[in-house]
Amino acid sequence: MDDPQNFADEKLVALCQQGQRQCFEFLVQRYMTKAFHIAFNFTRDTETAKDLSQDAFMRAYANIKQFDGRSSFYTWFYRIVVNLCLDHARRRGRVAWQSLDDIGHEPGEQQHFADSTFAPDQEAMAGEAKRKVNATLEAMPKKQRTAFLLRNHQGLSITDIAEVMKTTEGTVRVYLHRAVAALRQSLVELV
Amino acid sequence: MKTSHSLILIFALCLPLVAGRAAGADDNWRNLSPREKDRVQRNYQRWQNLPPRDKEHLREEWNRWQNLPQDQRERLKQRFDDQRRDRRRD
Amino acid sequence: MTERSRELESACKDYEEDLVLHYYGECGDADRKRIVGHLTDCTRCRHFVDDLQRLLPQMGKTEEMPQVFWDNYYRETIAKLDAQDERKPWWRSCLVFTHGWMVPAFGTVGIIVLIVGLLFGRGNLSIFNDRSPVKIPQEVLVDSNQLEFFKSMDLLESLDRLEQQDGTKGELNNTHTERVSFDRQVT
Repeated sequence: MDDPQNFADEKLVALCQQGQRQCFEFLVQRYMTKAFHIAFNFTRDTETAKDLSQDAFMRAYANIKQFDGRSSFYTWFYRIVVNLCLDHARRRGRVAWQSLDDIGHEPGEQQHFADSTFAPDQEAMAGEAKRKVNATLEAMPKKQRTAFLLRNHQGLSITDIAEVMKTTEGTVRVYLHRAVAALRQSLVELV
Repeated sequence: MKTSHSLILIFALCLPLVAGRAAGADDNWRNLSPREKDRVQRNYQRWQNLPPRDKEHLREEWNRWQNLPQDQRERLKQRFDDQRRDRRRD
Repeated sequence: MTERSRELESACKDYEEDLVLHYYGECGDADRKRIVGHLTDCTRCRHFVDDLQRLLPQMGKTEEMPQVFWDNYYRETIAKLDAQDERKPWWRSCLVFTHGWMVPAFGTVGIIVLIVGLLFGRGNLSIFNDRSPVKIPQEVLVDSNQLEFFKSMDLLESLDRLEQQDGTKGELNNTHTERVSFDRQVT
């Protein structure tokens, strides 16, 4: 008998729609890492990212019967995650890119640049670069930021990003280019 | 899903027409008093069991009745009702 | 060391967007060939792409969370799902048949039954008051003439006697007027 854990997303979704809750739990296992990381990319806070990504799973489960399969499950789910993150940012009044500075992270804590090969004398540079990058991302229009995070941090293809953002691929390319161009100046401090 | 919704919409639109027809036709029956309804049902049941000759006779009587003058019909009907009432009292 | 102080160079304006897409591997074959050809000749653009390759992955790196974090995350998520299920009002569990295709299916069936019932049934919604032991056909119910006939059938059976008592029998001959449209379909 086939192991349901190996079922494709579409099959698991179909079984969920028929009331098999356990199949949704397999989807949770499959996507919880990505969901958390997307939320973390937006919020830069572990607890908030956990809450938002779990809320995304609740929302997806509550609306699973309305999922019509026109897009893939994961782009549909990513859209839920991204929208929750953007709503959260809007409610807070600002993007939480400043949270790193607010909570006074030590330059040595690699929350953003997790490269453990940084030499101690380079950590200060990395911290400054990090703050510049954060500030640039915060100032960026949210659609450019979304496109950049989904491509650069999550590795989604431009086609998938277009599906998540409900826009065209050409528009995503423009967002991506503008995001990188805006970050260009903040990537000056090199190691 | 869309086809099913279209079917339901079509049926829902047709429903008032059908219901209207059914309701309109039903007015004749509904307007009868309970006693009259009971009489119709009883007579219909008797009619079903009548031999063809009696049915033919009743059809002829009905035609004759329809052709009687109004006042005579009323008079005969009154007489019939009075006799029936008297029979019940007895 | 030199790279530490080198500012990120701008790429050629006409190529900058394409270079970003090229870095992300989102270029078509023709564009890729064009860009690769340009990079062999243009140092600025080469540096630009080098910087993207060096820096952008750094931005995308995230802290690896320990396994215990993921175990807790999963447990919490499942617990929240359970709580969400329990929060459903008790009557929603009765509405399981209203999901998906069942709504239009049952709706269609219901409407068909209603139409058939109205068309071929008694057509009377107050069936509790009008439950008749004898099934009178619809064609009789809709015809006021036939209803009148069956209402008057007792009288018709006594019509001769009544006319004799009234002294009017034979005074009027039957006319052949076609006033009556007795529906012989009753028989």
